[in-house]
Amino acid sequence: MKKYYVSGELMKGFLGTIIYETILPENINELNIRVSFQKREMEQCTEMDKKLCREAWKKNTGEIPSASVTDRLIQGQKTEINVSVFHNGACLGCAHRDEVNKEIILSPRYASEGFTIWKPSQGVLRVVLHVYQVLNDHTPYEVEVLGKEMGE
Amino acid sequence: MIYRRAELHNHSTESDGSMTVEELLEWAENNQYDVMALTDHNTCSGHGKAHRVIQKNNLSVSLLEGVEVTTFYGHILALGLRKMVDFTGLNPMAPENFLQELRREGAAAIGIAHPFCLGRPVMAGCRFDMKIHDWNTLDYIEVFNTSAGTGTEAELSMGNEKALQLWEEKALEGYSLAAVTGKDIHKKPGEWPVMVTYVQLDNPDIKDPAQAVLGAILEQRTIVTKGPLFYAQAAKGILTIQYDNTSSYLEWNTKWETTHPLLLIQDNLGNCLKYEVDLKEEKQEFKIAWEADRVVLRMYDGNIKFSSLLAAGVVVKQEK
Repeated sequence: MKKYYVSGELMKGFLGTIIYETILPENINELNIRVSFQKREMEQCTEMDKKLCREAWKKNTGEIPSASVTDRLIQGQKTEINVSVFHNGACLGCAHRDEVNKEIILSPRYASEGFTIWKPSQGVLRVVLHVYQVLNDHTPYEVEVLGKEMGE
Repeated sequence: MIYRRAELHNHSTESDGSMTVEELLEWAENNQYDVMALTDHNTCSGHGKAHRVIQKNNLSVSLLEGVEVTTFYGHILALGLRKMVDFTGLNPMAPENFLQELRREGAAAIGIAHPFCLGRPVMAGCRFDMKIHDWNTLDYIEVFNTSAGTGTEAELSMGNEKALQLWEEKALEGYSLAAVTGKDIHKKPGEWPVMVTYVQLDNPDIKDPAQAVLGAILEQRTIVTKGPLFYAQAAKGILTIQYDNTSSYLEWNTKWETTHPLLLIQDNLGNCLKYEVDLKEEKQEFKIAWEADRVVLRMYDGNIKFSSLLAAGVVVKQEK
């Protein structure tokens, strides 16, 4: 079994793509990919957070939201990190769902929802983290790729 | 004229929907949709499953394969796309290269989803913040996203009125953009009285309904409606409309006789005309400016306010 593991921290307001790329060995028969993060909900709401919510609401409605509506808008937000996987340039799928722990299985017989069956071959594996929103400083994330070798 | 109902924006458990592909297609079948698009976020993994479900369950609904390319700066619907593409290099200030790449990879009709949805930080990435320089690279705009249901707050949060206005502005400028709706299904939809999309087809003998819907979108032969269906032509200062009140959607086929709609006609010269509609007439004629190149139409129930809209999204080129 081959295992690759990386971890990191994201600061509040981060918006962008984080890409991990590696070369798969020839004898890998199944991939298990896990991407997880913490601090899904906002832990500390600042006046700037409320101001930005009110501005977004006013842009659509023409009105400044009430305190209760603002609270609802704040509570509805979430840290969001979704995952796409590419092999030799071809997209195998995406885990775009509201989960802090995304587990992806790719094999010739089975693929997790969001992904297609994968025929093992060597080549370039790319795990793409789409970071849509980070609500808290020091938001930890992890990426683990397990490659099950033939015969395991 | 033949009308077919299409639902063009939906998510399953292949992304963040709560209905499986099978449940989604069964829902479409039971709710009289002729064509159902599967547009999961950034994946095409459900397409094969959907085809197998249709065959296994002997469903009559046709599948339109697609994807909702979900970026940080807005969502792009790519109908006909069967293979997800890498969008990490997309430049939101000049997305045209990416839109062309979608087309090269098989997207037959490309549209903007919920362009004026509540934006960041409330709904991260949902509002369309990209800068379009060339509107010819797009084929349609989702003018009604009905995922939030009905009511003033729902409409305002989705920005549907602004989306319709954007479409009308571009259509009157001459861009070949269709207007469509999207339920943006993430869970089993409520039975809300919302707009749906119908396409207009000439030929009743449709071998591939999904392809027919794509063709209609590309020809701007769509109507967004709560029941009324109509086909319009314009020539020499006369707009002729043929009504079809047979749709069972929201029981229009029983309600229409007691409805007295108003028709609003806007043309590319800035004129805005209002007429009473007599649905009992199979066909009606209305005067428009002879010099106008094209008009867009809205039908209201009683009074001219957004909440009273019955149908919209129709553009008519005037023959000179």
